[in-house]
Amino acid sequence: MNSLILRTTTGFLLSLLVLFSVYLMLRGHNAPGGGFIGGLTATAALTLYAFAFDVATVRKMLRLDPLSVAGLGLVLALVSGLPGMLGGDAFLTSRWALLALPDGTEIHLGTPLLFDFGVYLVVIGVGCAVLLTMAEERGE
Amino acid sequence: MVLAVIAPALHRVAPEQAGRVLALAVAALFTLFALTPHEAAPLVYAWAPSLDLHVSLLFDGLGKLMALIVSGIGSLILLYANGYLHGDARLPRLYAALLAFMGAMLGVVLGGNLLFIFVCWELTSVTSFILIGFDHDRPAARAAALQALLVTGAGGLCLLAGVILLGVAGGSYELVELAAAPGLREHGLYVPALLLVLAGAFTKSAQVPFHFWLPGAMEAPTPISAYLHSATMVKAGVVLLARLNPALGGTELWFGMLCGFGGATMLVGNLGSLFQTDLKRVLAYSTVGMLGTLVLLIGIGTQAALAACVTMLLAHALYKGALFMVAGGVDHAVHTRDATVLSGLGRAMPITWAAATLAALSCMGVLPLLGFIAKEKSYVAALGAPELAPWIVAASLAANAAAFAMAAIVGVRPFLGRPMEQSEHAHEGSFDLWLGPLLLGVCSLGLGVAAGWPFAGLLEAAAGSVYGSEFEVALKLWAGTEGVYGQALLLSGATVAIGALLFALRAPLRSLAGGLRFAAALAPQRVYQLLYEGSLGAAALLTRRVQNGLLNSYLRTVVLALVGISLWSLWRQPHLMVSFNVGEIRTYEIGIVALILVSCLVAVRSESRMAAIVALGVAGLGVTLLFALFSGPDLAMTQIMVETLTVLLFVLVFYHLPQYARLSSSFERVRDLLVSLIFGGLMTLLVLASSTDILDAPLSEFYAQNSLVKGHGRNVVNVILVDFRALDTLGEITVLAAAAIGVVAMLRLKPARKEGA
Repeated sequence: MNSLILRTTTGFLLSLLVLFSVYLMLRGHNAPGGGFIGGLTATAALTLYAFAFDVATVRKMLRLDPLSVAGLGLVLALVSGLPGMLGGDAFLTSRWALLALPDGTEIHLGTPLLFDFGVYLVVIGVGCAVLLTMAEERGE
Repeated sequence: MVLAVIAPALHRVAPEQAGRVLALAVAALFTLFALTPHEAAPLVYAWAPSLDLHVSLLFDGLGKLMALIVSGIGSLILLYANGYLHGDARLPRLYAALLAFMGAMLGVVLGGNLLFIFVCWELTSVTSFILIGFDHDRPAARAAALQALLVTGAGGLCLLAGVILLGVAGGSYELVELAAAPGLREHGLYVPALLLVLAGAFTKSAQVPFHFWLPGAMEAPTPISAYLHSATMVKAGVVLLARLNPALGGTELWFGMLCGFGGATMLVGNLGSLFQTDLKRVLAYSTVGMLGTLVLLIGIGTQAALAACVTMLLAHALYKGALFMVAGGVDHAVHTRDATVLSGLGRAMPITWAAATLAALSCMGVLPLLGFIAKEKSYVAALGAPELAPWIVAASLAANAAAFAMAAIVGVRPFLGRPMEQSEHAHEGSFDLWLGPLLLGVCSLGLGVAAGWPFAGLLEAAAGSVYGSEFEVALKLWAGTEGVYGQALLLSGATVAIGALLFALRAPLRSLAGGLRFAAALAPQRVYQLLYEGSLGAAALLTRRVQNGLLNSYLRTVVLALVGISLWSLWRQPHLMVSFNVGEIRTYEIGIVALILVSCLVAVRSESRMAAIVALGVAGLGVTLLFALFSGPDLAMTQIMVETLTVLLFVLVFYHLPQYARLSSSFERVRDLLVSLIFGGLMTLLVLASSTDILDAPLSEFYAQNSLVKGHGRNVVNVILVDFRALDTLGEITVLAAAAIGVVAMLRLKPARKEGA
């Protein structure tokens, strides 16, 4: 697709959408959102970029093979289950730490966040793997 | 087991010495076992308590005896492997597999919990598979490995079923508690449990008619044959029977089954060995025979029989391990194992000769070696059998005579007579190669002369733990000529005479009965082949029927199965309440529903693909609106994203799709309509039922209340996904990733196939 308007806007949109997808993932624990939705958003953004430019650019941008991204996500999700096990509880039992910022805000950081990040990566990886490969097929 | 992991690394560091270092480490383990006093009470560690699965170690007499055999011979084998496969790049793999096997085998012999024994039992099957197929580029080795795995694996499944039945009948999986459980032998499940356990033990220990896999397993390199398929693994079945004797033994069925199968195996194995020419196959058949003898002795079950059994177990491990290593050494030196060719090697290989002679004499049961004591004891046991004594004695006589001839063929003949052609090149192997057999041979001699010292006490304890209570075992080299001992001695004399005769007649025997007997011995093998090919064919047929490649029929099957299962469980629900009272309906809700319905109709009826896609998208967005209205923001967002990506997907594949056409007959369309109507109806029913019924109320309340307290989150949906049911999510994303790999592979594969065509 060779559209100047699309290319220009996609350049801005990509960073905004990816940022938004991370935001969605982070807020997921308390408000609508989460790793799955965030991952889908990021996938859509990347696919849009692939439409505006081409697949090779997106692949270069990802640096990793999409399937490796999915694998990384799986590993993260697995790893997030270990702290609970080390503490003697069942696998994937959540662990929380309270992080107090200088200005008094308190942030709850826990293994479920890591798990959700894993989900996020898996969704991106799987989505991109399928869509990008299909897009390449079309190009041939 | 720990050693198995570090073995390859060690080999990289010190390629020359790895085998020796590992052998020393295992020898240290042997010493540790030897110094630890045996005790009847098991050590218990909980592993999976909810399954009654405990790691309980039973270091009693039998456990200690077997642990000593496994670790002692194991260390010699490691040393031997170092010499036998010297410089082979695959050596580290061999060490790793051997040590892994050793760990599993120790688990089998020391395990006190039937489930734990089963786990280790399967591990030995798997490692055995790897070891038999060690030369994995040879088809024969692969076939033999597969055969061994299938036979022992099938037996393992029977064993598992039998063990579970036993656990149900006896109320425990602990051997000690099972032995003390009252009324186990009268329990209704006793017979099926016993038969299943026997099936497991018989396949593992190569009893007739499952014996055929053991000679096949001789495809493995000699160190492996010597270790797994003579000294240790095949004894697992015998050990299991010995372990279960206190709990299950003493019934008519036990006696009949064990004596029947054991006796038959004893005869087939020992006589069969005479018809073989390959040294290793000769030894394999004689091992089969010996395993039969051990099973027979456990079946007889008297004190004398069990004492004979443990003595025989030790004697056999010593001499058969040695004979295998000798056969391997000979093969290594002159590159043939053909018993009809080998002769006159004694001069070139004096140390191997000495070792072979000692081992062979022990196998023949000649004074004053340990084999003699074992054989005398087995005759005494046979004479004292509660039933069928004459038959058992006759069978034992025939088997022992054949064993005598077999030992002569393997251990004596190759070293005497005129030097053969290749013997010019014959040379003594390295230190690693002859130390093992020599040490084992000397042990056979020493233990015989010293009448079991320092093992007498241990053998007594081992026999005691098989019997269920301690009793005195008199290990004497010369028991006198009074009573049964005199008769046993007479039988020994007859054994030697008949054995010598058989040895002298070995050539005519081979040619005369060879073809006939061989066919008979192979019959179970043929049954196995038929079953194997049959199941492969059936699987192919089933795959063609089920995987017909039509997405349509896949979907139909899945949907119908789901409907069937759901309806069935709804049917069983006693108080199914469905109420149509859904509260006030607002105008815009009707509007959205109408929109969805119309777009669905358009999608189905449309003549153009583009219109159908757009209509589907509209329906999807309508559903999204509904989600958003009924406070399901997470679902709505997900739905939007999925719709978006679906459109993207369609755009991508659009050009690839064929012309939009009507491919189905009207009958098929009606059928599909019915299926979708049923499915839709079911879903409606489910939704209505779940909104009326209080079925899930406690669960959703639990989530709602605990989400913030325990999950530190206000978004219940997300907390459920990443915390409460995180394992489910983990499973889902794993499936997702696997599916992506499949999709990518398929997409990449297609063009390649086009190019090929």
